[in-house]
Amino acid sequence: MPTILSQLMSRMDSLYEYDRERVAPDQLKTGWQFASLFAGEHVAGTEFVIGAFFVLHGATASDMIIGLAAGNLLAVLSWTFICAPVAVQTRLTLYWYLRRIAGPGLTAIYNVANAILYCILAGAMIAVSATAIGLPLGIRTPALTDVYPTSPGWVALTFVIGAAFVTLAILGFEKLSNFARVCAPWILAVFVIGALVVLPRLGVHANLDNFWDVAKTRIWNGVTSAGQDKFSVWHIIFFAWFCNLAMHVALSDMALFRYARHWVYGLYSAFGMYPGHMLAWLCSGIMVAAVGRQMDPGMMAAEAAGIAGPVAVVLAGWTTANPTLYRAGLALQCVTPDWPRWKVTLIAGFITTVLSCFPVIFMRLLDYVAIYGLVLMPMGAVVLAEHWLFPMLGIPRYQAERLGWSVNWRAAVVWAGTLAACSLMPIHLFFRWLPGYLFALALYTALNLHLRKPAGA
Amino acid sequence: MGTWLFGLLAALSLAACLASGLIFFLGYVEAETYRRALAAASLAWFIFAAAWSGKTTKPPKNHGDGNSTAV
Repeated sequence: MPTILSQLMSRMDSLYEYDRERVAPDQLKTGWQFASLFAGEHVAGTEFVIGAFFVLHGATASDMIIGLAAGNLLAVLSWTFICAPVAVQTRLTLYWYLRRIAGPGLTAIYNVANAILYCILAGAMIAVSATAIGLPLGIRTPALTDVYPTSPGWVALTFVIGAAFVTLAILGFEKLSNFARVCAPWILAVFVIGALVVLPRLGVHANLDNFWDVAKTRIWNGVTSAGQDKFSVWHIIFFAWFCNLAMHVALSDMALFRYARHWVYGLYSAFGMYPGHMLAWLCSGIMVAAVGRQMDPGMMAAEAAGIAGPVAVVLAGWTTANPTLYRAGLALQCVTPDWPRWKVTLIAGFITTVLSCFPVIFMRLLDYVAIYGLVLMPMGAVVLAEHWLFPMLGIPRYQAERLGWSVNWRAAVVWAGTLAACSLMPIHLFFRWLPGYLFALALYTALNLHLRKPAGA
Repeated sequence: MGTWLFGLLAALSLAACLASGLIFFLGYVEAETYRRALAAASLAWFIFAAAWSGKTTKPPKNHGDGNSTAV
């Protein structure tokens, strides 16, 4: 095991060698570069599904406005006060900073777990794209409560789309990332246009004088669809907050903010949150209401925007899946001895494509996003505790690095213990991450308290 | 063609996309006209925006530690 782990560590290090050095002052970026980065990255294929699901979960109109405004504000503040300060101080990616704290072995395990979670997300995006391409082919989108593939046509379609996405990820991630940036403003425009043009179908007048009445009675009317639990304003606040938990609280976006001139640049995340996680979610809610609450992103978009609609759904799914598959291949390459990256990406992509056949992946996307953030959150707490709390309490930092540990067992215990605690909490899944985060902070600090140097030492 | 011109045409194309939806919402055109206008303006956006982006963007480096994918 130690030999396998050390091989894993060594391969992981060499894969991320290009990011090992701290960002130099002349590499720092302007605030507007962060604004455009966030604006481009947070209008994704998931937005077609998430906003629609809020309607199905019986959200009310006022809860949506208040919940999304407040939840996205909390997300922006999390980037600003939790992620950006650590990134600006260290100028490192999470990989290289976590390595100093958790040990290279635990970091490698974390990275692999991350890659698996991202593969599942990519699978959901393949399924979302399949709803668009299946439309002209007469392939029925699975129903809301379907778990298993519903037809050979659906399986074949997801395999073809998965194969295409994987091929593009293998051949040209970097070349295609420019094209993905071109897609983002147009996809957001299609969301807005799609919602606008279906408003008359819902009974909204051209002067919008009855918009709020229609919003309360025909869109977000508080009625849940069959098999869906009721969402309150708190579900909406918490979902909008933790939707990108892996990026802000779990510190993945250290990779971005290490280029920031000041931690206040975290506020530029608002350029992603409000267009992508408020406006786009509201728009997809309007679109699903106009098609009788049928959870079918391809059909929703086609009804609203003609041929442009399904194209937007496919591109939104692809622009989310493409970097995910690439990075999953990068992370998983360390566990495959001497395999070229294309081969690893191909295997990861194949597994992802198989997963995408199962409609439960995309029909339970909200729960999956919650679990995905929950799994990664404890290590964010470990890093935060070590970065800020330890100096305040006089606990020496970076023990794993100083003592040459491959695994910081205290961090490992906190990771496992927090997930166990979260699994037992008798509250809704959306609310578990916050007490879990506080638990992880407290537990990690408590496990290291005995190392405090006496006052004056 | 100057880079700025591609940028301007891309912006105008995106504005045309939005305008197509707006004039349909206001009842000035039929659905089929709106859909065709949106499709045409979208095609124009991709052509001009890709050309503008190609002239103004350096090749991207690898993306950090592979841990940042937005939802």
